[in-house]
Amino acid sequence: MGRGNFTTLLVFITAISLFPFIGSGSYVLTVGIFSGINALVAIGLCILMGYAGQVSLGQAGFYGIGAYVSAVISVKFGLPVIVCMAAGMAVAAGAAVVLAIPALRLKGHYLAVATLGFGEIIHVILNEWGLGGPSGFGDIPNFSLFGITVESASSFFYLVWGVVAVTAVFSFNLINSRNGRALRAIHDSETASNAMGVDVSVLKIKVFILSAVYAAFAGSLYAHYVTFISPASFSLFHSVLLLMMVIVGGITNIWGAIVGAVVITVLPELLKKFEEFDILVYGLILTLSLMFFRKGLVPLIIDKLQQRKGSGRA
Amino acid sequence: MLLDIRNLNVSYGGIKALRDVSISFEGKSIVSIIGANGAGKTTLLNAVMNIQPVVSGEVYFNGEKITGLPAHQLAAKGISLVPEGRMLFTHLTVLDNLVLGAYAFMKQLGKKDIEKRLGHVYELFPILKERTTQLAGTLSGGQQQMLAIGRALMSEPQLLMLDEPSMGLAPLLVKDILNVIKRLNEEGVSIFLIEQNARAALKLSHHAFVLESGVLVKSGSGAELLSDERVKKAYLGG
Repeated sequence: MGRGNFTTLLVFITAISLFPFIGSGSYVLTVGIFSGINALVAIGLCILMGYAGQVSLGQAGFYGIGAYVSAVISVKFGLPVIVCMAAGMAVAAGAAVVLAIPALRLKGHYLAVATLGFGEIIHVILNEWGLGGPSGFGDIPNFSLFGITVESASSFFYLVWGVVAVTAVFSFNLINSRNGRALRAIHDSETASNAMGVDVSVLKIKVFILSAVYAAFAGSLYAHYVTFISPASFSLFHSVLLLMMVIVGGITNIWGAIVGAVVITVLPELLKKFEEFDILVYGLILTLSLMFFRKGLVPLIIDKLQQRKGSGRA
Repeated sequence: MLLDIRNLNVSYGGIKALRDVSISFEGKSIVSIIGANGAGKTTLLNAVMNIQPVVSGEVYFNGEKITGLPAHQLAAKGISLVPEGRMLFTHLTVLDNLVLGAYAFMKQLGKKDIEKRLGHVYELFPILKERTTQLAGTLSGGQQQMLAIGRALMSEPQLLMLDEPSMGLAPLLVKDILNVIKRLNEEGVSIFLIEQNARAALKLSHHAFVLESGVLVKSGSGAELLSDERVKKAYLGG
């Protein structure tokens, strides 16, 4: 990871560590936790879409798989939560392979529709299967590791954002690795990548798996924090929200995914004072931001900083 | 034989693009294919690289059958293609493009090997060294062609296939590119060249073939074809 990213990471970690001292109260912390959970999914989606150039409108499906598999195993078999979460990620990875193989032949809008269909299938399964159906699945144990149960909002906040930080570092290293370069290459030209020796199909499957595992990890964290899940949280609407996060933050930058996730999660909370008009204002803000900051918030900030640096030197 | 193409047939839907094309040549030579637009030249190279599926026929490389092998495996066997229209990774830097050229060997190669290969490319095209951090899409046409060739060379191929390297370039640049091709051949790389600029290609080539509507109609040494009446009339402007 580059120097700029390293500095940003330090700022980011400081902000996260101080947040529970500034933003006290479980409501504020819970919004912070949901931001972190969404950021985790968004990072995966950002690598999939912004770097590898694949589209997914079914990310909530993987998120739901992670949540349900982990929740059901922990309730029915009483296994350690960490084992259940790993199982959730494994099942999501398997689902990603099943989705990726037919999706390899598809591009652009067609891929978007196929992934959307996948998300809907998962949503229907969660609704119809005997796991509580639409009324949800409850009594999920809290997250615990080595006998220590993470119950309080502030400790869970640190847990979630710790995971986000580690994932972000891992993702930056991935992007700058040999495989990361190849991912960006298939975005530009699959044929040329192939001719250079890149196994495009395998790489695409791998990136689908990666984004699915991130989403499933986030889903299982969600399940073990809220301790109650229902299919409504894993619908197409959530997939679209995730897409919004990545786009608003800036699809070509992992920091963008994190910033976008925080903005999209916090914004509706801030707009609550508009009461029944909140959704209108929300829509308006999103539309305007897409009109005026087309590249996304983070690339915009980077551009501004560079301009400043440039004019400072001149 | 380095490359041995036997009775290759390729179709686009119902239209036959290549009919029973057979070409073979030994290593360390420059071989070119000349022909008009739509004669099937690009199709031939793409079929060898298996970017274009074939209907029938076989391709052997160093005596090994490579028909049907995926393109990414061919790169590892020592075949490198500079595709038509360059197909650069336009949103990646010049350096990223070059390093990707060695992707097939990345596991075997250390940082030093990559540096050495980069050094060789920069020696051939010094301008690329000044542009390492620039996005490939922002280079001029000539620089892009240099980058496309440089990228293909990063895998240190035994066989370098070039699809219209002079396309869209100023005459002076064309000369530069052709000189580089000649030099690479002297360094031991076999060249399989496709060119619309028939005169320049024939002057350079040890052996050449004429492709018309998907059929090989003539073959001979570069000098023979340069003095051939029919070739003169059709491809060299009388």
